[in-house]
Amino acid sequence: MHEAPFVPRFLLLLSGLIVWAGHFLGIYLYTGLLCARPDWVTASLAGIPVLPLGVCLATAAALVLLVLLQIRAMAAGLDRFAGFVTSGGIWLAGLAVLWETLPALTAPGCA
Amino acid sequence: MTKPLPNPLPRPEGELEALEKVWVQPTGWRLLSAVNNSQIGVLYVGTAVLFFVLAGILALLMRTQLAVPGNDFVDQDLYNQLFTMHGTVMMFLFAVPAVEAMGVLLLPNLQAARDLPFPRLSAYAYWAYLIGGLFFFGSLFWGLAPDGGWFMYPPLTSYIYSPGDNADFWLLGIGFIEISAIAGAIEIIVGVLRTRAPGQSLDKLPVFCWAMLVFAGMIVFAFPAVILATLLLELERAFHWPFFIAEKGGHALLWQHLFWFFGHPEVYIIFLPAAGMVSMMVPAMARTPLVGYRLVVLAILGTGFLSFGLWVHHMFATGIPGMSLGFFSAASMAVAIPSGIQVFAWIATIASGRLQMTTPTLFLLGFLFIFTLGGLTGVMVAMVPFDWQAHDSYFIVAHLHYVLIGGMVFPLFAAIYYWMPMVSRHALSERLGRWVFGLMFIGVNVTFFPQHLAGLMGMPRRVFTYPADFGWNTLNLVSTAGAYMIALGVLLFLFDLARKLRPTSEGNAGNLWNAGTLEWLPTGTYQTRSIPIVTSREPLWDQPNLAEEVESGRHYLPRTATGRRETIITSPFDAAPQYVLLMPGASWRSFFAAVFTAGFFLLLTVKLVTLAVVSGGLALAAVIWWMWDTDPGPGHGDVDIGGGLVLPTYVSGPASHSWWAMVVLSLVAGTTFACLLFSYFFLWTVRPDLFPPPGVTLPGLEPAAGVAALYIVSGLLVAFAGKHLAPPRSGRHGVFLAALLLALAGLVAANLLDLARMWDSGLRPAESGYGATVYAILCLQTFFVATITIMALYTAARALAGKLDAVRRVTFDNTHIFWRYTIGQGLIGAGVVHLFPRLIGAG
Repeated sequence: MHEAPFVPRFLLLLSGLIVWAGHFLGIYLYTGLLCARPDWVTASLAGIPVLPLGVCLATAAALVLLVLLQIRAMAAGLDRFAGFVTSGGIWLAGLAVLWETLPALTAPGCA
Repeated sequence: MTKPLPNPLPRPEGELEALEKVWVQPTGWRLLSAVNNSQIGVLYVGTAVLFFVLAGILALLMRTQLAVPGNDFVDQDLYNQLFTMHGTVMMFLFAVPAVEAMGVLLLPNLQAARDLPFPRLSAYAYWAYLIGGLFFFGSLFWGLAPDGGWFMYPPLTSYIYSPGDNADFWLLGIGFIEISAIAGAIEIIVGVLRTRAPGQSLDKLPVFCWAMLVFAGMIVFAFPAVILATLLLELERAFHWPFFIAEKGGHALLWQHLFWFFGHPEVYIIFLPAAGMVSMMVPAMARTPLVGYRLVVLAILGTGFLSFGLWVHHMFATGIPGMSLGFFSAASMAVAIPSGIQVFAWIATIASGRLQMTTPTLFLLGFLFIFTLGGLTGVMVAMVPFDWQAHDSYFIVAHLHYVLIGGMVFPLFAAIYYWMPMVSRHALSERLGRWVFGLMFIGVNVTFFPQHLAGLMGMPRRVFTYPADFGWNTLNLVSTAGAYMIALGVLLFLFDLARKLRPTSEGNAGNLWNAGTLEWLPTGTYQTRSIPIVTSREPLWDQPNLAEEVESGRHYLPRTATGRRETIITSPFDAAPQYVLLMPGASWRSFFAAVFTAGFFLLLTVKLVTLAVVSGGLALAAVIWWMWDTDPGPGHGDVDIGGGLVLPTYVSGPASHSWWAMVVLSLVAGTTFACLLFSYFFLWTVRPDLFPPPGVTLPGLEPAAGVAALYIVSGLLVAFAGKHLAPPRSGRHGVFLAALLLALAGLVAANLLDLARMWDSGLRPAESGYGATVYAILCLQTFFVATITIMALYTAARALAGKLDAVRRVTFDNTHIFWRYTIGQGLIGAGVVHLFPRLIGAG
């Protein structure tokens, strides 16, 4: 008996959480990098400081990706279990991404 | 209409006897050669309990010292060793091995496999752990035990402030034991995904198996960080490469990042399997299926991921940017959601069933209470301002003990009581069990609750004594009384264990709890007589007569089809049978490999370099001896396992279980390398002026391009070799061997050229953090090239011995996977060390 290739199937199951991991690592490295360079961190774009701006843009990108993944999961004809875990992971990741973006709007930048 | 079972009755005469014969287990001193999970698993769990007791004795010594102010029961130097060894042994020699051991013991039974796919690897991991662990613990008796705390922060632990061998025992000992843990994790990943009962698709997988899968995946991505950290610190101690020395462009925080990138997921690495065991026991004790199975699986996956976003919450007091602290604080709170989902699922299951008030139940309820309290204080310390107040105080000591004892020790005790009837002729005593629980539950709260208060009153952790007028006296005395209460409970448990534990496969006490999962099927030394077709999550509840059908041999593979040990390899999602795996029997090879590997690390620790090299050579020889019989080829043909299913006994490529193991091993290697690149870039952020240091001229780009070209040519040649493996029995290996050896020459030349050009540039590893990380990248590549050299020569030797051809090609495939990985790492490494400094304007 043959079944669909494991790697793409398993990656779809974990896709939401993988996006979360990428977003988290991305915003952490971005913040660390900017804070290590005082001349970079003071820069701004259209009057908005680049530090929170970059984090918010990363969040927007992650959310768009999560929406696309949710659409793909719905179209993939997953069984009940895989569909639940895939969608659940996407929603959990979405919540975590939003929640972890809040410090960009509230916390002191590099202080 | 019910489907007919795969195999009819009556079974042929002598079938069962033949099965028993191939699975006969060694006894007496030959037990050292055992590889079967039912023997290794019990030894593994027993050894973990031994280390729990040993580390517990160290805790009692510390609590005795702290019972009254100004005590001189132990001096400060010994106290430093005691708390370092207590934490280290509990975390590295008890907690992780204990849950890994439960996996080795339980997974084949839960999945109705005859064993895990690499039994010798399990045996190797176990013996390496036992020998390494005992020697590591023994360092205490010679005053050589590490004394820098269980997280060994430099600069305290570097060569300036810790010049003796003590820190080396930690670095080499723990590094070695971590390798054992990774070996176990690879076994578990492949085992969970590929050796399940037919029909046991992922939606029917027991929660413990899910938890072990996530656990092993977390080990793959977390443990390389600490292995790399120990390697870097050892390089700093031995050769003065300044990774962590600020005045030379290193940074002490680099250690903290690497350590906690492992260290925080470690908490969940311990907790998730324990939670998985709880999810098995609660339904059995409540006599009802687990509420919210899919949510619990999602929560396990979510916890596994989110736990990697918490490492900086151990570093809130280190001056990291405020916004970064916010991210980690948020993640620390977010992880409470999936953890909470599991807690509510257990409570709902208990509420919806009829709970049997047995000893396992008591420990489960104790777990819920203690772990939840630990979780609540965890949310408190996730808040940065509170953490700044509580950091390094006894509040943290209390919090971590509530989490770890609640989240791992109580579930483990519940599990030992629960699964004892599966591995032993007798269950443990219910009456004594209640006493054990009572003493431990009250003892834990009496010990650790006052420590919250002591911490809030300012008592710092790791002090060996305190003045009488700080107001901490009563709290400490109460804590000490509680510790002895826990010890009494554990002593009672050991007494009961000595009375009742009689390990056996065939005459066990049986399914006393009327549980619904496969580990309670009747077993022999071969596990189940036949391998069942599974149609639900609780097959024993939902498939009437399953136990009888399995025992009478009516399901798959009720015999030895090839005259050897076998199990069925299934597809990873749907658990469809794919091939019959031939398995090794008892063997000394993995035992000797473990002994000599341990010898290598331990002799190196005490600076007996020549003897260490000899031991390392013997370990390598033992591994090659072990490997030589693997990759048996398709000689056994296809076999009938029943129900019209005829399966091959040999496959290669991505369908092969060993292909999966090599891919996972490459992930481990890749994570190690990624952590090293992180170290490089981290040091750049703190000292960009040293990238490169003044006076150093970067090697030219032409030689670097030559290095890259050599790597690429090597990759093409090895792929070419793979396409020119000799047809079976032809003996025409000339083209293959020529291409393989040329590819090897290209790989070695690329690495040596890169090292030589870097040396010529004047850059020295001991002079700057930059130099240290550059040479670390190049030397890591040298290590992989050396590994590939051994693998290539081994592959060539197998070809010459007639054990490798175009069909029997798993050995080559494995070498090829690692080869490709090494080339990728070499190219990325060369790109970073040659291009990045230019990108930022140097050279």
